[in-house]
Amino acid sequence: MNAVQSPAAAPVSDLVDVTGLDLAHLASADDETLLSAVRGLRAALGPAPVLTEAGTQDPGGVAADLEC
Amino acid sequence: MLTPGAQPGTPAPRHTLSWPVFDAFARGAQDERTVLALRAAHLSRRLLLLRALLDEAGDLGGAHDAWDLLVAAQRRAPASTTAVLSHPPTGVWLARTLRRLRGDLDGPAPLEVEAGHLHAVAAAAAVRAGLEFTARVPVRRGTAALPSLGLAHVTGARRWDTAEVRRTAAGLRVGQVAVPEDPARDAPGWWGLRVLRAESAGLRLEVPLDDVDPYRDFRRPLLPARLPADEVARWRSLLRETWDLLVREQPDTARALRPGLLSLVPLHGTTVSASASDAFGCTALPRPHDPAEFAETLLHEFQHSTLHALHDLVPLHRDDGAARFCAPWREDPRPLAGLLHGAFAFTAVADFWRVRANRPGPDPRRRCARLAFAHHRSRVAAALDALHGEPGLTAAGVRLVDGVRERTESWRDEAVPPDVLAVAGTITGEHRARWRLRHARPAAERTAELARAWLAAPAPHAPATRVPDHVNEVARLPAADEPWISLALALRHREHDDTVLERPELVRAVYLEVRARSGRAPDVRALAGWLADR
Repeated sequence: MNAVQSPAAAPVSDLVDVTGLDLAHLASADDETLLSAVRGLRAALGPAPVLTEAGTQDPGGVAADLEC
Repeated sequence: MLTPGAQPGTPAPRHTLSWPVFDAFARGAQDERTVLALRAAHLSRRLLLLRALLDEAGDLGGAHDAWDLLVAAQRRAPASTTAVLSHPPTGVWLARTLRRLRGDLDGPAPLEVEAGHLHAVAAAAAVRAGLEFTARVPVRRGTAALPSLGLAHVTGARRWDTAEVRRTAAGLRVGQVAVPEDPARDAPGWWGLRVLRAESAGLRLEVPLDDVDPYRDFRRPLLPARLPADEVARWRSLLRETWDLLVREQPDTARALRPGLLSLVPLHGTTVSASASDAFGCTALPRPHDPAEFAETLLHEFQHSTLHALHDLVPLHRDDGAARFCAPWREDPRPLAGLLHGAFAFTAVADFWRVRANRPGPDPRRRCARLAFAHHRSRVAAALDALHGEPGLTAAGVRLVDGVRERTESWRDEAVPPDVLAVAGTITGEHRARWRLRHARPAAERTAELARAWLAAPAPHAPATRVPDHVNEVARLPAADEPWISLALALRHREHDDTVLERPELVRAVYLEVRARSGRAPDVRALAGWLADR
């Protein structure tokens, strides 16, 4: 059973799309939508990279900060 | 040109992914469009973090001049600039530098050297855009990297230094090093970023083999580790064979993989491959032994990479980081995110072997493929069971798990010979028993309560066992793990009895408690059967 009941066309995400933005604008824009997205991503950036490693022959396992 | 929120009342554009596409992704029906959408979302994330870097770094390392050059490059050649910004090490550098600015990380290089890498990014973009310019890029122990292009050896530099990059009509120089017109080629003082190419059934794949970028490692900056030409030739040959295999056996996945494979980083002295959330499209791996291993690794890491990107778009979990789950591919307890990632990655691996198992070929090869399929299918099933009802999953995470389950349930009727199935079951059962004995701890009060109940009214002795040696070994070494694992597996195979295998830690704890209280060891099989009802 699916936990999310959504219209088929509804977007899954809310991430602002800046891929077409002129970089000069990206640096100077002060609209709340963009600044909020920057703040959100900055806050979500963890203290260390999230790694996913795969290996079955490492008898000692891998370091605790690894994900998979 | 898009300017989010520039016009009042105009909603900022968003990255959208419809639920049907999400569901198809979960079920493994990835296509090129979906992967391109995830890649674009990752690029937005990276651009927004670049803005964060500009805000936080101020003019550290001359960031503003670097940014002006990057702006000029983008205006001249947006696609080329996007290529540099999408280059996986650029993401690693960006996230690392932000973490350093926040004080989460330290490193041997001064912060302005790391922040100054923006000049190298901008210079690489400007080179690709065909601009004439001058910039100063960081030098680390005599090496100056231009991301996505290569690396120059700068003579006479201090440990941390800068070098001039000058592009004129006469060509490109980094310090005194003349970079060849085709920067992928080597020249005196210059190591080009080599690109591996393969083509099969009209489907082309191009991917850099990155042994030079200082940010190619996900954890820390590295000096170059140049592969000799014969080693590169082996990688090239292996990739061609691997691409043939993937296009032949997994054509849809191969098409989806192309935009999702942006670089390969060769590793040394390890058997472990890796990917990272900061570096969409990068797979770090030791040189595989054969095309099947290579293909399996690429698919595995591709799953991780796309799942990381999906999680950035729509959070799949609220992981508290607590390592408490039994992941069938690891000996240690894992956090929720690791279990989810592993389930998703190993589903693709299981499918890879499922397809191989169903192809005509020599019997030993098919038998290996069947075992690999049965093994990974069993692992994924166990992981999905552990994820079922897990409150740390978001609604989207639950939906993802549902999709994976739907995909794997369609494999239930795949024919696997009983003896192969038994071997796979033994591997999974052994892992489960060992993990539970090592990491699951029954509550002391509950153990004591059960022991008292047993002593008050013990179950009748079980019928004569077919595994007396294993029973005796448990009696001899009741506190050790191995006798219990052996007994659990022997009971499964000889007596079709999973009562020890289900909860070996509880059977052992109560067994020991009864023995301590009464001075006599209970009948272990009778005890296990009795506990199964409690």
